[in-house]
Amino acid sequence: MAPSEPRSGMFRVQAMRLGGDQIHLLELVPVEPRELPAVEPGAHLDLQLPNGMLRQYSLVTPLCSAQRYVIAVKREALGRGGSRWLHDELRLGQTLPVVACRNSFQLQDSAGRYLLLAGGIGITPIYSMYRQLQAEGKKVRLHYWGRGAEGMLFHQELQAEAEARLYAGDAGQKRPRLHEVLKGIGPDTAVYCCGPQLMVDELVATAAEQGLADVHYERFGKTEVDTAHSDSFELVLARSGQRIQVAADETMLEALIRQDIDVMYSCEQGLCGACEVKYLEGEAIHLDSVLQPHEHEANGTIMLCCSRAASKRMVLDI
Amino acid sequence: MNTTDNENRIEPALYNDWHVVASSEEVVEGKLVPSTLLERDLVIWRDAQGEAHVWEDLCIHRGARLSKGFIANDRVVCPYHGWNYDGTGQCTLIPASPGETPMKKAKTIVHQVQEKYGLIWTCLGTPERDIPEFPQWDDDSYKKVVCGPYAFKSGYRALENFVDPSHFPFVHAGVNGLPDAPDPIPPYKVWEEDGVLHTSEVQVTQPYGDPREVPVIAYYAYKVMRPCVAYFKKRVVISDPERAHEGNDSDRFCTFFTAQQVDAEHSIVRICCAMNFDPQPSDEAVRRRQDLVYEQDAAIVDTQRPERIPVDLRAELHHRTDLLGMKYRAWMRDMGIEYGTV
Repeated sequence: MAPSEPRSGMFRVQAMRLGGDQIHLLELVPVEPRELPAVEPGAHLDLQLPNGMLRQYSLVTPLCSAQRYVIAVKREALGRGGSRWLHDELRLGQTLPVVACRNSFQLQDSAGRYLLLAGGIGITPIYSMYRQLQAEGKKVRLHYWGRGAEGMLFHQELQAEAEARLYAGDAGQKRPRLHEVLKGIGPDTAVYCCGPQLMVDELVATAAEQGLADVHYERFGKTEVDTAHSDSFELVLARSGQRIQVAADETMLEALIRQDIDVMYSCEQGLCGACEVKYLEGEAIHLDSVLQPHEHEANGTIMLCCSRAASKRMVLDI
Repeated sequence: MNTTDNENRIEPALYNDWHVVASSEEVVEGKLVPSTLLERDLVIWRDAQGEAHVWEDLCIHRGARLSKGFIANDRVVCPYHGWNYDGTGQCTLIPASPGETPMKKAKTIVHQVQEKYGLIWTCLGTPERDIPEFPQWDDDSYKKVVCGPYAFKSGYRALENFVDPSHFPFVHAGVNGLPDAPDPIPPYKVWEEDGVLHTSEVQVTQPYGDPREVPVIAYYAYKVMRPCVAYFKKRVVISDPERAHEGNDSDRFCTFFTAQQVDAEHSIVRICCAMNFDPQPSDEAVRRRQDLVYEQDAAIVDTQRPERIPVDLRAELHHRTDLLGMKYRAWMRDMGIEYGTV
């Protein structure tokens, strides 16, 4: 059986570094050593956490290499639990499934000038872009808002940069509003922004007022589960010959239940292993945390409740 | 409870299997021992040659319980009209007609018997396989102690509990685990080989891990051999460096577990422990510990609902740390076991 698509698979936490107050930099290396494809600023990982959550974290691409991915995670005490789990439970050496590495916030190579705006942990893709643009010799200006220098990732490093403006909100410091830094920028400037919802809302409103077109943004804390990695595929049940289409937004298990197929399952989150079945044909993307992908490959099994086919067709031995 | 021919109600996988009905020690010469297996009332006795017998607890004459009678001259005597039965189950004397040879049909219902691992086993039907192996039984470097009987509700739930390492810190707090620091159960493998479920080793901390009363790190490798027979081999490493010299790399503690299904919701657990460490604990020390552990188990396992174990995995919530329990249930389901399950 062919391996899962190259950017997904099991990764081990090789190192954890404190990037700032409540910010962890996690270095992830593939469990089965292999060369990772190059990553560009704006790319993120979809991490499947053992508690069943699927979470997106931007890569710190200047720190990534063919051997490792590095993400920055800020502990959000009031978040939905993903960052709390990564801070409080994740341990060095633990393995996690990376569902996908994708880029939906890509730098476009058209502008003459770049204005980068970051709020809080939104610095992660913006820092990556900043370094990339500098390396390319582009004209770039960075504005970075935060709440206290100690809670701002790369604060010390960026403070020394002539092209970076950092607003830590220290006593006496005048913090410009986002619309103020957008004032007077020309049509040859591309704007990239990553920050919380309110910041992005302000950007969108200001851009509309000023008629800015080359504006790109990503907000963190987005809630939708990304299904871009999942395509529809066909299941064939080897013993009955029955064919069942699995839609992009449903699991194999849901498709089987929809067709009244009697299969075992329990947790429906890839945590228990009750729904493990053998498959005879097809390429699997293993997303459970019960077995490692190589164990699945050795057993020829897949978990119905969370894993998917990378191929258009998968034959199950049921 | 009454004795009926339940052959048609009990699936062949159970009916044609060997089941424990007593420990060897429970059946002494000169005593009739009643026992119930799968709702069948049995009488067990040991003749003058030391052979154990398992019969229906039923006089062919008028259906009285033979176990209410007595043994005289190596014959079982029915308490009702004094009919005498010899070791083959044949009636040799009808006291109301002493000069006559009893009819050929005057015979009790006799079941097959084997005495193995300090336990008495019977098969109600035709055995399809032999009693599972217990390799340490014939190994003289191991001390063996039979413990029990322990009363449980579901025999299957009792067995599943026997192969579940994640309950130790809670049910056996301070004995087999630490409630304040429960061991995370690392992933382990389960595979089926020759009809037996096997696991790779599962590591747990045991503050009072074996009868020597020293804290150990224990590595359990389990086998589920039959629906009511399981086994573990525990590799023990003394965790206190000060006392590590008391241990040895080859130290093992094994338990052969059996459950007698009295009926679908009542069972009797008997185990045989085998250990090879030095110095070896006394029989009393081994039993004292097992009595405590199984009493703690029964207190919780007997509260599980439904009383009968669901073999459909959708019925309860499982976790990967319960992998063997899940595989056990699915294995029984594939075997067609319905008795005692839901």
